[in-house]
Amino acid sequence: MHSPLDIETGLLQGIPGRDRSVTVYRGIPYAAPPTGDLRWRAPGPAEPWTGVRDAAHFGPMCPQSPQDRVAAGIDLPLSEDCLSLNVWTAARDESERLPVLVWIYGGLFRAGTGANPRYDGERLAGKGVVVVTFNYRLGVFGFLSTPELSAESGHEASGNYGLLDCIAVLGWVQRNIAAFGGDPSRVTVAGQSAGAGTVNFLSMSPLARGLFHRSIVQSHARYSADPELRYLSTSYRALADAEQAGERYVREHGGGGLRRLRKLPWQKLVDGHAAVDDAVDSLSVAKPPLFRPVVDGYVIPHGYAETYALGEQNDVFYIAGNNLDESGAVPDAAFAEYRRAGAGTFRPGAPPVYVTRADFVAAAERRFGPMTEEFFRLYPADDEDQAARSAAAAARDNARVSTYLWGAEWTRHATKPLYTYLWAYPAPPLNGAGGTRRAGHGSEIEFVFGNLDPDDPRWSYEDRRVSETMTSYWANFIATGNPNGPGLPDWPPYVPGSGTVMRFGEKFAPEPVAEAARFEFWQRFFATQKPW
Amino acid sequence: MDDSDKISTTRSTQVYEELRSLLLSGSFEPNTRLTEADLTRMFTVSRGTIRPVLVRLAHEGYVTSEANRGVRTRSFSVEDAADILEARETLEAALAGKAAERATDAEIEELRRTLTEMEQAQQRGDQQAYSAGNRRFHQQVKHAAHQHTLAQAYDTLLYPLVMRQYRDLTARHPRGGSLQEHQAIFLAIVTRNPPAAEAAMRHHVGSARQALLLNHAANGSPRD
Repeated sequence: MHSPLDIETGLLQGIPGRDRSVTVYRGIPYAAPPTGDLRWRAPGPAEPWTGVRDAAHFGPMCPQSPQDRVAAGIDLPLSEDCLSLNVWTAARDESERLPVLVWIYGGLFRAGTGANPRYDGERLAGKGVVVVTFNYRLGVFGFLSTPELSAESGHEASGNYGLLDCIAVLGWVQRNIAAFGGDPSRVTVAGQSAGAGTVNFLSMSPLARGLFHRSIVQSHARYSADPELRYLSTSYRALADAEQAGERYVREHGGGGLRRLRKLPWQKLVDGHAAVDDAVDSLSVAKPPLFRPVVDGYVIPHGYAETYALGEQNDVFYIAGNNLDESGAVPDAAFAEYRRAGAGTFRPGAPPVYVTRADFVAAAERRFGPMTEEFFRLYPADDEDQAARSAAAAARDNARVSTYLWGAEWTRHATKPLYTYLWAYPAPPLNGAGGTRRAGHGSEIEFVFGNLDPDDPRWSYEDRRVSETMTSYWANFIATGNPNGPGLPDWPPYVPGSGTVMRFGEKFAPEPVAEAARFEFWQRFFATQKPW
Repeated sequence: MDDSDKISTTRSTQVYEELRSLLLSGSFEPNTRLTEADLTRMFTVSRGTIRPVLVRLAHEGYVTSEANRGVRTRSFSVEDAADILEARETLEAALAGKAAERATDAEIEELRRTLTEMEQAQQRGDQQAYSAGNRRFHQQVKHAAHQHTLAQAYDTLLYPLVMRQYRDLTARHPRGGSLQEHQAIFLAIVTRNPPAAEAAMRHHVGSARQALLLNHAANGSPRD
């Protein structure tokens, strides 16, 4: 692809990647700048340009906490004019029809950028996938809901601007990806953490129907009656709660009507890490961020349990998995590090890590009530180390059983296969930070994108081998809906009643979700909980 | 939501680095007023944490203090900008000269690698990668000079802010000749020729200055 492409808004010139067979297009506007009067509205059409647009620069990041900007590892400004996307393609010309991956970044719905080098699409493009990354509105700009906004919307709904951005990207892909050699009838949406939550929401949105054909959910597909769901990226708000919280937020930022609020510079509205939703009781100190998607009756008609029971989800091929060391579980070798760090070292609302007996026992009593005694028979806490190990084991079993039961809900009306996994491979710590290897939250990202820097000695030979397997599974699934292929360990699809999950770790093979007694405990505990 | 892996270090140092980096990134227009309240919200810190950060940044010239407890981002007059750029020419030329005397073999190898990356980025037309390489090259020359007083003076120059304000977004990037100028500096360092390194750096920084909008901004009309 060396000559300029012709897309709906004009001519576009990309640049060759380091791998010369790949061409990169950065910073393509996919919607009108959501500024001024367009703040808190569905994204409008992008402005056409004249001449050839030079796609050599990533667009600015959406307004977010400066801490997150630095963590993204790329020096881009923050700007409200941030709705741009990036494409990597190895198609030689536009007659090719390569499968498409649309990647949705995570970051608590308040942080992230499609330009993050962790999501660089060059390696997957080299495997024959057209990769799209993009920016969607975050925090108060992406998810503010107020009665006034609902009233002016024409749908009696507000608060899902960030999701509407994602849907606008999927529409853009349908209209434009053929110019990049992509196949609009084979589109996969994939994301991690809040990006994974978004994939779940898109899977329930009638506005996204037919715009994608496969889903990949990296962390956090959870059973609706699992109280952990309430604070994870899959948590959502009821419209009335979101409107009430939105009104309060507006009052705290000087109040006034929408005319005034749309005139304020973004610096006056952006929320840092503090905006957590205290109204949510997750049976622990973990809380979701205040600004997150809303079951508004328009973008998202119903919650999980109801959508799945009615079979109203978008019926697509699915991959969903969890990581061994996330949602409060840490490896044994990290206990000392966490004990030294003590409480209060995490962002507000983060899932608690119990490394002392006292913390673990108190938390379990609060959480399990009359089932506490039974819980401690399965997860004993006779001394400090045993308590820490049991806390990690309980968090892991909880997550695995939860995703397994989610699978049963999802597949009730699904006609296409679901594949579930547990990422248990210990990855090296990021950014030269200290600490132990672990299968931490998001640690699979470099592996599935194939972004293990060849010059960085942190990555071992074994790491590179595992990454080769992961990129192949992902590329196969994006192409066909089935991750399996020649030379790969067999990954059987989800079967209700099988009680197994595919483990990616020291071995690649299915294993039981949990010991029978523990599995049964979690199932009974969830049965006592109100579905979210 | 899930980030149980993160353990934070000293918050005020972080906030200083984050705000400084945000100012250098061009996230604020020149002359933007930022109140303490805006910043405490944005960084999720107390006023007690943000105040010393603002004092330090004002002292270093990244922002100016406002009477009623806030700051304003800098807006450089053409005269200020010309002054800063002139100082940069002198300082960086001196640093390049010292680097030609004192760079270690490892430092020369790093410079060579950066130059190769810049060359490849230029061939691909990857302006973003070229700019990153360019910044790294200048930092590496500074380190290779092993001259702390000069390096410190160089670090406080506010040159990146001036660049932000006066760069010509309509001009071709990288500037024609930029790569060759870097190669000339490198060659003088490799051959241990301090006067040549000084001259090459002076020429390079001077050319970069010519490309800014200073002359045109003086009479208020943009280029072309």
